[in-house]
Formats: sequence, structure tokens, C-alpha cells
Amino acid sequence: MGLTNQPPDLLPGTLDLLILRTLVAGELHGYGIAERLKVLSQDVLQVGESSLYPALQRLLLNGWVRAEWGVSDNNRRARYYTLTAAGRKRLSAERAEFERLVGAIQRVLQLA
Amino acid sequence: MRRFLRRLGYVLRQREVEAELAEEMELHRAERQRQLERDGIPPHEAEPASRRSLGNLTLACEDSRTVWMASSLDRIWQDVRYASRSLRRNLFFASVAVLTLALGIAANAATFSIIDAILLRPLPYPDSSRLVLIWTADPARNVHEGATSYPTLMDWRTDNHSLADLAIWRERAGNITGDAEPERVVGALVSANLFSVLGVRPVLGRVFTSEDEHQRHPVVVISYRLWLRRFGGAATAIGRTLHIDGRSLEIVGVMPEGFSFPSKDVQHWEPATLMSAWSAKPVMADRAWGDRYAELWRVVARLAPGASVSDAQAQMDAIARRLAESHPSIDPDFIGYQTEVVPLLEQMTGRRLQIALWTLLASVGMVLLIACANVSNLVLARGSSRAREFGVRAALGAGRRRLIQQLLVENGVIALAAGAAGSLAAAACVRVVAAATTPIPRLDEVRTDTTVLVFMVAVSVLAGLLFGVMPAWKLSVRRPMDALKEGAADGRPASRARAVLVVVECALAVTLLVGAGLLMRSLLLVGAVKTGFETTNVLVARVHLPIPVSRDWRRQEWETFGELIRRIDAVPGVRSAGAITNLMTFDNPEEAITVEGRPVMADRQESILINTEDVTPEFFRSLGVPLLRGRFFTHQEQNAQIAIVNESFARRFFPGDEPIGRRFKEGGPERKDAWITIVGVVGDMHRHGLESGPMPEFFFPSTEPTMDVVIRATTNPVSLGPAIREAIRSTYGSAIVLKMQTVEEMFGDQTAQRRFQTWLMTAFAVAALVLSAVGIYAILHFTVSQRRREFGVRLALGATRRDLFRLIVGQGLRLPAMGLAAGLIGAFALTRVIEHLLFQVSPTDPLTFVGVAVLLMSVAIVACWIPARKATRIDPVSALRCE
Repeated sequence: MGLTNQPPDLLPGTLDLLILRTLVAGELHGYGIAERLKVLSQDVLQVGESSLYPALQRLLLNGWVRAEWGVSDNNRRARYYTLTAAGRKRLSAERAEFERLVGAIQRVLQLA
Repeated sequence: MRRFLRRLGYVLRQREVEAELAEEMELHRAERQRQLERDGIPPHEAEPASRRSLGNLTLACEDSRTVWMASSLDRIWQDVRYASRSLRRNLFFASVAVLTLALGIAANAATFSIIDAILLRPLPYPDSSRLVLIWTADPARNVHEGATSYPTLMDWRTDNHSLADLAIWRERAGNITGDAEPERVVGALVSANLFSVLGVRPVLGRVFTSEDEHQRHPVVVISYRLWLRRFGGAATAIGRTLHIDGRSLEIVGVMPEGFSFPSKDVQHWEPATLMSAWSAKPVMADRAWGDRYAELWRVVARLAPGASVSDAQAQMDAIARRLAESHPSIDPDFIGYQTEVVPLLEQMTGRRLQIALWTLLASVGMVLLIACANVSNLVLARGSSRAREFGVRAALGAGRRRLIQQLLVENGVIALAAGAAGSLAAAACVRVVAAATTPIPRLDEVRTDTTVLVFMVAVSVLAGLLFGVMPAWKLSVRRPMDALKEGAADGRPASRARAVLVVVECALAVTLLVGAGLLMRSLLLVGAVKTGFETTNVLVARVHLPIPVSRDWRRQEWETFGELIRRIDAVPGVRSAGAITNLMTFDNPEEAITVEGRPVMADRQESILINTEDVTPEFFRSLGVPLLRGRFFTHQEQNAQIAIVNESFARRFFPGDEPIGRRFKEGGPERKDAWITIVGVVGDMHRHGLESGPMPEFFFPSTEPTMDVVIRATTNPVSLGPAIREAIRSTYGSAIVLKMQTVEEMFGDQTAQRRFQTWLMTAFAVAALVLSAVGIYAILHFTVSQRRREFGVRLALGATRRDLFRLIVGQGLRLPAMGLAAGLIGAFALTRVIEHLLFQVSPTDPLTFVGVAVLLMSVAIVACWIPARKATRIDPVSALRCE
């Protein structure tokens, strides 16, 4: 059973990586994750909700994040996601892999 | 694995989870709206704007769901829905398949539930598999299930370390008198530890202690039934007195409901030491207790922890060898020291019933196999016509695994439906069987319990796999190109598989038919056995006369029975009456006899069992037993030293000689008994079961307190019951009629087990035959429709319709013929298993084998006939034009 439904317009697996990264600082709800991604990428990465939520489900399924119901800033019920130990491990592995890949691409771009 | 569990969790809480997801997204939208409002967009614009920016929410939800569901689970669900749709569209195929399998599953489940009730479920004693009976036996003389003496028992107790404890019993009937109606009930004398060996506690009061044995205070433990009947189930019954045969016994305990040991009839238990008249003498001083050769007791024992039945038997054998040396016996009545250790459950069910039941289960299993083969065949046939569908699917990229999975799911749906229908039918059967009254032990305990349910599920799954896997494999093999190119032509591998299935079906059916045929012949032969006496319109009343013991009571008893018979004779509708001690059952066949002026048979091995009964003078005439020589008894000859012998006796001891006037005595020559003169010879009677040959018998002109009074009537005797009871009562006021049954009823009981197994087996065999016929028909029918064009060409080129007919029937019969050959070989090897169930028929009875061959081939011809006829009606023009 491989991963299914890779998010479009990003390198495969990148969205998962980015979400995991936003959660390192602490728990966030879905909207918070989207906002954080937008801010951190200086508005370059606008994650569509249509890929954010499926991605979150995928992370849940793989056991990389945990979801708990809490209360949002303006007192609404919201689901907060936290990184699990497995998620942390996954993040560092993915990150290393990603950097290797980007480095390779850059090298190709510079030399070509 | 974790992922799978999480997935499962999701599936189980799907609704909830999706609601949560929707809520989460709504929050997201609300936050976005807030953001927009903060950026200065008015609320009425911010709301739709937030929706727009979010995109298609439903799609997001769907996508989220697919993350969880896009798995084989989901695909299977898809297949299930697809399969039920496609089966609904092809309702005829579906119902034939489901019905065939359901029948097979139902028959298997019902048969298994019977086996479960009779053989598998433990007896109602704790750890009942550790209980064994220990019989004395002498296989050389065909003596089994003998009793043993107390001294020998004590040797067993001390020397056999494989047994944790031994208990003894002896049945004894008695008359209970007192406040309520007097009645005769069976009780047992038991050792104090019987209840602890069995592991059963009383519901009220206590059971015996060793004190009860030593003090010999008259105490009694009663059954639940007796307690309800005579004491209304009152707790005050404890301490009250029960009067049995004029003795007063204090009731100390009541056993739980349903408990009875050793037989279902036993209703009270007394300490064994009360056997002799009550006295304060030490136990062992009693002759009966100290006598090494007084075989009075039957023994039940509990195996020691870790010991097996064969351990116990081995130690018993060693003890037997030792005792035979230290205490040899010359008494021909004495059974000896050899023993047979038999598990209690095995004793209760009997070896023949066990063989019969397992044979039935195997047979019904074969029926299921045939049913599976048939359904496999159907699936293959249907698959051939769906070749295009599979071809298209394969061409569109469905992998082989995916195709197999789809077919398996489709077959699984059929199996599931069949399993459900079959289990329901089986449960209904079980109810009917449980309600029926039969003399087969424990059959009334049949239930649909967990074991049976597990079996049903297992059989359904197994059936699904059996019929489903092979076709799925075969059908998925075809390459898409071929399928699309050839159109609907049958693939080779599938048609070969179908032929093999038909051959297997026929082989199994033949095996079953041979088994059923042998049993059926046995049943007919048993039915044809001449009983040697009148059995129609004969009523048997077991009458007990409680005549008080006095100087002349035997004579009084003889005369009272004589008077009783005269009064019954006078009842309108009665032709004749007479009395015998035991018409059908027999307790202890006698020993050898000694014939006057003839050397004694030196070798014990040669001595044979001889039965003896007391009869009244009218007995033989009343049952129409022919007098071959000599004369009957007269009323004056009570207890005279004369006897009437039967034909077997005369043939055995006076071959070619005149037996009348010759004298013999019971037992060996050392016995001081008086000589008995033979005055008559009568024909043999099969009184002890139709299946056992007649044994040598002799009859005395005498009576016992309890006799079977036989009454031959002119019409159905059942209506005479009240008048006969009245005649008995008027003769002797306190006479007790223990039982009233017709001879036919008594014989019916004897053959009940044989009829049960024979008819079930026959039903299974017929089912197998019908299913095989359907299989033959189906494959031929299919072939004919496949080869329409070819037949058209043949006809066009000048073949006659008769040629065509012969060709098809000839080819059609090839498969059943191969099956027949295989089946006969199989039957030849297998019928030995049921040898014990047969009566005067050899397991390789040629008549049965030939009969089965003829039967199968005739049925096969009929099954081929219809498709062959259809082929001859093919119009060559239209056959060639179509396509």
C-alpha cells in the first residue's frame, strides 16, 4: 500500500514535509497551518484547502500527527494537530531527502 | 498493522469522523472570513469570498475520505456491490447456485449437530472424559460387559495406580409403597463414593459417607423426579421415610435434575452394604461380599491425573494374569479376570452408532463436495459466456489479481447467501430432530450451540473456497486478446476443468450409492428375518405380582398367573394369552449344560451361551410358536423337572438324535442339581433382536414375580388396553402393570437405529445422484450450444440426426463412465469401514455394485438425452447463418 493522492503543483511529498515542519513549534489547527505556511513562505505557498485536509488525513493515517479537539482563539471548537515521535523522525528523514534532491536539482541547473 | 487498525477505526466511526472533518473545514472558512473582514472587506462580501477561496469543500471531503478508504477493503466493497448487482441480474443462476450449496450446507450442519449432541458434547459430569467403566469379559466366549466380585474389586483398587478411584453399583428394582399409589421403580445399590467419583453433588441434603457403609443404617438418596413425584419437591423430604419392598429407608439426599446413573430409569440409590438383609455383621463376613466368584458388581472409575485409558487397561491386564494364577476357577459360570476398560461416553453411544455417525458425516461431506463441483461448473459455464466482459476489463488494465478478486468476491456472496440459508434450514431440522422421540441415546439433546454455529460458518467458508477458487483461477487465465477475438468460444482449460468436475461428481455419487445400497440391503434382510412367532396384533403387558413370601408362594404365583391369563383370554377381542419371564430382553445367558450320558466338553472355549426362561403352559400356543416334537407343559407341572427346548438347542446337543426323554442339567457335572427331562421341542424365536441369530434355549414350567404377559388379539390390540388392565386388577388387586407395548413397537425400537442411518444415507446418496445428473446435463447442454455451428456443418454435409444423437450421447456418457469406474474402485476400498453396520451382506456385495452401476448409467443416459435431442433439432441453415 503506497501513499496515494499526492498533492499537485508541489514536488511529491513536499506538502507533507511542510505541514510536519509547521508543527514542530507546537500544535496548530488546520487554518493555523495554512496561515503559518503562507506567512513563512512570504505568500509564495498558498496551500489550497482541498489539498491541506486530505494531506492531514494522510498524516493521521500514517500516525505522524495526532489530532485533538481544543478551543480556538475566538472560542470555537477546533481540531489541533501535534507532531508525534514517528512524525518527528519522518520529518528529519524527509528533510534530508528533500535537501539532497534540491541540491541535485540546483547542481543540474547551475551546470547546464 | 497499525495503519490497518487506524483505518478500521475510521471505517467504524466514519459518520462521526466526517462530521468532525466538516466542522474543521467550517472553522477554517470562518477564520478566513474573519481575516477578510480584518482586511476591510464588508461581512456580506467576506462570507461568499471565503467560500470561494476555499474551493470545493465537498471535493476536499471526498479526497480526505479517499485517503482512508482507498484500500483493498474499499475495492472489495466495490466488488461486493458489483457482484450482488450482477447476480441480481442473473437471478436464475444465482438461485440455483445458492440453493444447491444451501442444501449441502444444511445437510452437513444438521448431521454435525447430531454428532455434536451424541459424540462430542461431554456428559453432564465434571471432567467426564476421565470416567471409565470396567467390565469383566471373556472375548473367546463372546462374553462382554460382565460384573465383578468384591474381592477382585479390592485388588483393582489397591493395585491399579492409573485409577484415582473406583465405585461400584448394582441395579435392583423395588416396589415403593406409602401414601401415594404403589409403584415399581428401578434403584441401585452403590458404594458411598459413587457420587464423588462422578463428581455430582446433591441439590438437597447429602450423599453417602463411608459411615453409611459401615453402620449399615438404612438410608437412601432419591432422584429429582422421584422427589417431585412423591414429595412434591418439598425440602422436608429429607429425614422422611421411603418404603421399598417393605423396608424403611431414611431419605438423606436429593440428586439434581437430570441426574441418573447408571441408566435413565434409576430413581433411588442405597449404600451397597444394604444389599443383604440388614444386620450388624461386619461386611466382609457376608458370603456375597467375600466370594471371589460372586460377580455382582459393575464398576465405574475415574482415571488418575495423567493416566490414559490404555494405561489403565495395561495395569488391569497385569492384575488379571496375577489373579488367574493365585485364584484359578473351574466354575464354568465364572467370567474370569480379564477386563475391558471403556470410556463412559463410548459405552453410552456404542461403537456401531459412532461408526454410523462418522460415516454419515463423511457421506454428507461428499454431497457437499458434489454440490460445490456443480456450482463450480455453473460458475465456469457462466464465466465462458462472460469471457468478453473479462477480456474488456483485462484490456482496460485490470490486473489478474484484480480479476480473481472480483470473481472470488462474487463467489463469496453466493457462499454467504447459501451459508445463511443453509444454517437456517439446519437449525429448523435440529428442532425437529430434538422434538422426535427415538431410542437413540442423547439424540434428544441436539441443539444449535456454539460448536454447531462455528461448524456452519466453517463449512460455508470452505464451500465458498472449494467452488470459488478454481473457476476464478481458470477464468482469469484467458488473455484479453483471445477473449475479444474469439467472442464467446469456450476456453480450453475451463472446459477440461468442467469435465474433471463431472467425473469427480459421478465418482463420489457412486461411492455413496454403494454405501447406501449395502445398508438398504441390510435393512431389507433384517426386515425379512422370520421371527418365529406371531408379531402382529400382539400386546405385551409386563406384570408384577407382589405376592408375599410364604411357604407356598411360588405355587400361588403360578396359579395367579394362570388365573390372570384365563381372565385376559375371556376379554372380547383376545385370541390367546400366555406369559414368559422376558420376551425381548435377556439378562444373563447361562453357562454350559451337562447332558446325561455324554462326556463333558473339556474345553471351556467350546462352551456356548444358552438362554433359559420360565413360561406358563399357554405361552407357545399364544404366540403361535410351532411345536416340532413332544408336547407342551400342563397346568399341573409347576416347577416339575422338565423342559421344552428350542430347535437350536436340539440341533446343538442332540444332532441326529431324538431329544425327547433325554435328560440334562444346568452347569458342569460337579453340580448336584437334579436332572431335567426334555418333553418338547419348539421352533426358534428371534426374540433377542432380529440381527442376532437364535441361541440355544430351554424353558421351564415356572413363574417369576415379574412376567411378560403376551396377548394375541384378533384386531389392533391397543384398544384392548383398559379391558386387559381391568382383568389383571380383578385377578390380583395389588398387581402392577409396569409397561404395555405392542410387539411391533418393541421390534420397531430395535431397528430404529438401523432405519435412521439407512434412510439418512440413502437420502444423501439420492441427493448426490441428482446433483451429478444435473452436472452431466449442464455440461452437455453447454457443449451442445457451443458446438451448434459444428453440428450444423455435420448435418449439412450429410450426417443423419441419428448419427448426431449417438455422437452426443456417446461423448456425454464418457464422463459418467469414467466416474463410475473411479467410484466403484473407491467404494471397493471404502465400504470396509461400514462392515460393522451391515447384516448378512458383504461389503463388496456384487449385486449392489452392479445395481449401482446400472442405476448411475441409466440416470446419465436420461441426463444426456435431453441435450442430445436438442442438438438433433438444430436447423443447419440457421446454425450456419448465425454468427
